[in-house]
Amino acid sequence: MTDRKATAANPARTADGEWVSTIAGDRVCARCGFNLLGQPIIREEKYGLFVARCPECAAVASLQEYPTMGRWARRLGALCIALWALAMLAGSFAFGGVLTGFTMLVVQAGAGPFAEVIQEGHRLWLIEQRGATSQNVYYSTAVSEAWWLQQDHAAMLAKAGGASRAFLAASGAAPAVAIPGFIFGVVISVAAMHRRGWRMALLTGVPIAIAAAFLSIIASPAGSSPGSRWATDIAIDTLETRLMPAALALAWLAMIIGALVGRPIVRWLVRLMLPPRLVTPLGSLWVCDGLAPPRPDGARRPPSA
Amino acid sequence: MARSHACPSCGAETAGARAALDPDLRLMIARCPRCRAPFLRSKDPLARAVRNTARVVRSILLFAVRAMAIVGALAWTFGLSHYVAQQVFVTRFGDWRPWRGLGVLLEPGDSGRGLLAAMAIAALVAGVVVRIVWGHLSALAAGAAFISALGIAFSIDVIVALLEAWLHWTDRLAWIYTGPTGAEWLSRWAAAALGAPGFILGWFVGGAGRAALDWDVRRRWRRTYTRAKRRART
Repeated sequence: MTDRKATAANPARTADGEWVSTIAGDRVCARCGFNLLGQPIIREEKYGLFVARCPECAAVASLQEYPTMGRWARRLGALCIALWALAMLAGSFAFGGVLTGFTMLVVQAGAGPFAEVIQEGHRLWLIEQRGATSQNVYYSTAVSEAWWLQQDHAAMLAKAGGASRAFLAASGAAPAVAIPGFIFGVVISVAAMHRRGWRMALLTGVPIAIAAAFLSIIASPAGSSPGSRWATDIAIDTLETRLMPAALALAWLAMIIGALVGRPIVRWLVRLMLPPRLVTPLGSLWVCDGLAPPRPDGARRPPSA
Repeated sequence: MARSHACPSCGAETAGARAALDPDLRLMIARCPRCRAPFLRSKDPLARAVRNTARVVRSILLFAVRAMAIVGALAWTFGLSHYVAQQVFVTRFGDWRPWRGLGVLLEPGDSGRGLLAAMAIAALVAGVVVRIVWGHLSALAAGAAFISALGIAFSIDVIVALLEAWLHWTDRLAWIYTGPTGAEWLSRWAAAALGAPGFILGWFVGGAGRAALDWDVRRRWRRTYTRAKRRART
């Protein structure tokens, strides 16, 4: 970088101090990255230091130590932000996908008793149609669609114990959505350290929304062969509008609880597993909740005012 | 140690000069201790970011390594405790309570002695690992933490069996528990208790190992050794 002295044509003083020269090379502002080429070099009045002021953000730039930040620092920063955003997006879809699978497991468990009633009714109908004994009827879970359309669905559901029986059966598989939901909540609480309280709790809705979108896509009926369907599929189709929201709501509740207690759990684990010297670099886990960061000597600070 | 800086005015070493944030300029200003000339002391933000990131990554990696070491020690102890409990206490005597299995373990010519030795080695290794990983905790806290973790490990199949029983109950309205019985669960603790002396020995061995890994402790040892040598010469 070479500097050019102020000429007689230029004013010798500015509001900041004495104009001694002009920046004649490339020099970026450390705050906003603006090129300060052409800006006046001023000897500021307080210390007599040579400084320049950025015309974009008004930050004072030191001229005695050249900052090594350049365009590549900004590019690197942008790349890191893009990678982070991509990882968060991929993570949300992964969590959504996992929750979709476990929600289907819960729905399948809830539809089990109703599926058995459908299957038994179909078997009896087959015996009646063919005039055969129950031993001769091939045991299959495939149900004739024509037979199913003739049935009183509400009466069959009532025979299976109604929706309350389905919810009870689904509750057996509830840990399958609650446990992963809690773990995902803990992960989200650490990944979204800039959020606290209900704002973070709302953030857990993103994977739930993705799971709901996946479930609405895969909820279409599937046939086992033309004219027949699996008894389980029929039971799921009948009960999914009640069981899926309940399972997703449970997963969301577990995620919210996980998100709210996640950071204290992680802080406790970090303190348990690492000596104080290694805990200090992870101080952002404390700072994000307004707590005093851990000290390298392990001493506890009094709570900040 | 502070970084070396030369005064831009007189060239004096200013590493000891403390910089303070100027409220007007928002820059870190230090003064040369010799000529009192003010100068800027700013850290390169990129290098600082790289250093901070490296520290965070090191902490996360060490967290993972330490967690894996603890899980390994737990798995080793749990595996042997479960095996000894099943082979000695439960299979032969149905229970651990009269400690009748101990006779089998100490009997000459029986494979019980081998099991006892394996248990002692497992406990020794666990003690070393616990001391190295949880050396920053007090002995009482580290012991309590390991016993709690062992309790969780011993109870995992109980929890899984309870979840299965719950699933079966909601489906068939019949409670069928297929997990370990209370006697089996307590037999695991009895088998683990056989390794207690090995664990305590491992705690002290781990303390020596931890000190050997610590640069400051090694320096103290070197100094003590050098002084002792000098004293012997004179």
